[in-house]
Amino acid sequence: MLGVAGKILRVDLTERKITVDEPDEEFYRMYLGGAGFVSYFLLKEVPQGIDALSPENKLIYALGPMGGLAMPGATRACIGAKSPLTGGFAKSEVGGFVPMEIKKTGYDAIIFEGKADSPVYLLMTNDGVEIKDAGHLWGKTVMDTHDTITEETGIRNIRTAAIGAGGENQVRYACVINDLKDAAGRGGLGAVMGSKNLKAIAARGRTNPKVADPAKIRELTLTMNQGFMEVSLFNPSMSEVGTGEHSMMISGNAVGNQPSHNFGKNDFPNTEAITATTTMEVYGTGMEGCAACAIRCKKTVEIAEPWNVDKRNGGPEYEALGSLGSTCGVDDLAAVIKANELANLYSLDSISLGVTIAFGMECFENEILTLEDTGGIDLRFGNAEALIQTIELIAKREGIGATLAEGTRKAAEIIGQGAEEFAMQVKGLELPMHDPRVKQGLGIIYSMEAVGADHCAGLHDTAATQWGAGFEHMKGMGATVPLAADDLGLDKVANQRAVHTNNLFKDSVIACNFVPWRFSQLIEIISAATGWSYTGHEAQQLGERIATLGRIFNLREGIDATRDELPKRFFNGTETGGLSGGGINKDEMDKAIHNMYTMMGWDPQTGVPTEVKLAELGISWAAEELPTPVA
Amino acid sequence: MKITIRPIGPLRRHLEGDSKSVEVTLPDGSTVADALALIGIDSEAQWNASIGGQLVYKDAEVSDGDDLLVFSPIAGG
Repeated sequence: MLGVAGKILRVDLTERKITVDEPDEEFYRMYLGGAGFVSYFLLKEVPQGIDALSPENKLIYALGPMGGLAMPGATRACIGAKSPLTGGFAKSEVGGFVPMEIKKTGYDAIIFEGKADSPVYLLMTNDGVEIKDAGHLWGKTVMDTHDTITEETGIRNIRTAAIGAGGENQVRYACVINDLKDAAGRGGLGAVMGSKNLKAIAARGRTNPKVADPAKIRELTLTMNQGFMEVSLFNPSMSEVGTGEHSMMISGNAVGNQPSHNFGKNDFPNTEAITATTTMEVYGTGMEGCAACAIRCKKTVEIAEPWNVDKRNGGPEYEALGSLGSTCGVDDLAAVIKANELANLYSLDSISLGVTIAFGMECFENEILTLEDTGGIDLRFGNAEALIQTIELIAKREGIGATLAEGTRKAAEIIGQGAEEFAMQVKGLELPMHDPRVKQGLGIIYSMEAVGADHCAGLHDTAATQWGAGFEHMKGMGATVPLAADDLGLDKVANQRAVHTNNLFKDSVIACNFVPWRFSQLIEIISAATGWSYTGHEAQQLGERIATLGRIFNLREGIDATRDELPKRFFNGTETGGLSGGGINKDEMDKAIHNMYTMMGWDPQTGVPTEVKLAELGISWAAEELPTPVA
Repeated sequence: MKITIRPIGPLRRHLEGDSKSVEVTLPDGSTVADALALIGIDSEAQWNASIGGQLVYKDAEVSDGDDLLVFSPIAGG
């Protein structure tokens, strides 16, 4: 096979045994890589009803046919497991350099099974794969883990995907950190690593993947590198300050998109203080990129006082500026940057971390949590010191941190007293920094997607309100007509479905959302890499296949249509600011969600995929996994 | 009627010098697209706009005294 290695590594941590699967070409063409692999292996191999933090769970680190190629946006991995945060399907994508190195060692994916009886890490080179002792790494931060592995292996430029204290202590939203600063953030995949005593994957490869048409790959790379600014969905500031630049956050705040005070206000008085532009002006040291990418959207920052921040750990992206800043009511930029660094050092998802602390703050301000509960921390909105103190406690699961380490849904159950009103989550996954009262179509995806509220899974409505270059990009994915951001009619559902399934396909290629590859170009890349005559129809079907398999995984775990619901807060407006006009119309949202089921080929009422749809997608085998017989 | 147009970020290039806003005069019944055309912003280009915190679209009518913000589309991040 070309474009892919043809090998999937299977690591049995309990037996410390490594084997290799060699699926046939039909399997690769059907599931492609990344999210396709994750959706297949989770449903096929993870038993129903297991504890996500038990040895029975599996962790899948999957690449795609684009992986290992020197193309912008190609160095991506999709990591998946049963989520300890939601109890359902989890997948998250991440960049950096690790995915390229793994692909160059000759594997398309790694499946971790069981649990090691003591801490280990996996070392992958072209000389072989080894399970190494990590007892001496346990307790170290992600950065110290990376440095120790680099030193002891003596391999220059070795790359690591690692966990820190958050993963080790099984914080339910612990993430996996690639290369010190890139996170596979959502769903608690780092906690699954911790539960398996798996501290890190370390990889350095030398073998470039063989592709069918190297000239075409070079041509497409050149086209993107020369033209990404012209066709970019973002303004040129992506290469200057990354996500969260001044105008994005100021305008987002003006219309209510940027959360503040746990989505209770969305009218943050000092947004300018915490934008990416200000971050770079005050603390920036430069911009970095993932392997082979010319956009270079990753900030590096450095602070000496009052909080020491090492530039190697990266700077906050928009999601972190929003979640650890305005959502917690904090406008102390240095503290937000420090909080982001701690999230990276301890391997905590900055979105869930910030939203969970904001939940704690709202509980505290409503006297549901007291000073006694917090161990003396004045956990009020805007208290930067409290933000930092609470992160330390969460990572260690100490004091109030033990409760907040559970995520908002479970923490609300523990705290009681109506705390669930303040838990901003769907299926247990905390909401990202795009308010569904503004981007209402994205709210459909937040509601019904298998992983929970995921901002990478749908169309950002504000980017498709009128014709033009931006909509042209969406049109290639199957969106049909530009619409107002708060429209929830059938055409909006169709647009969201098109972009949702396209994004799941893209998560299998795997291509970065920040590199404006057109749908047609991704098809060309797959064909040039593999030699197949890959088609747009196959790509669209793959996206639907992944969504449907994820849906079935959740149904099997008892996560049904009743869980496809936003928190009540979003059906009301805020007292001031852009959302003072009101919230989402619940009847319209419910109707849109059910229309989405219909368009996905699922039962319009129950959201259960039909046998007819499973057959159309070539996954009739999945009918056996449905909890009740399908019509 | 008179309204104020306030571009944020890169769209500020449509204003002269270091200005952050411009006041324009329009006939009654004018739309957001009419207003933005006065400073050279194409109605088919990529932008979002808001008045009083509410997103508005190109065909929406503007009123005397409106403060019209215009900015790059708020996408992901």
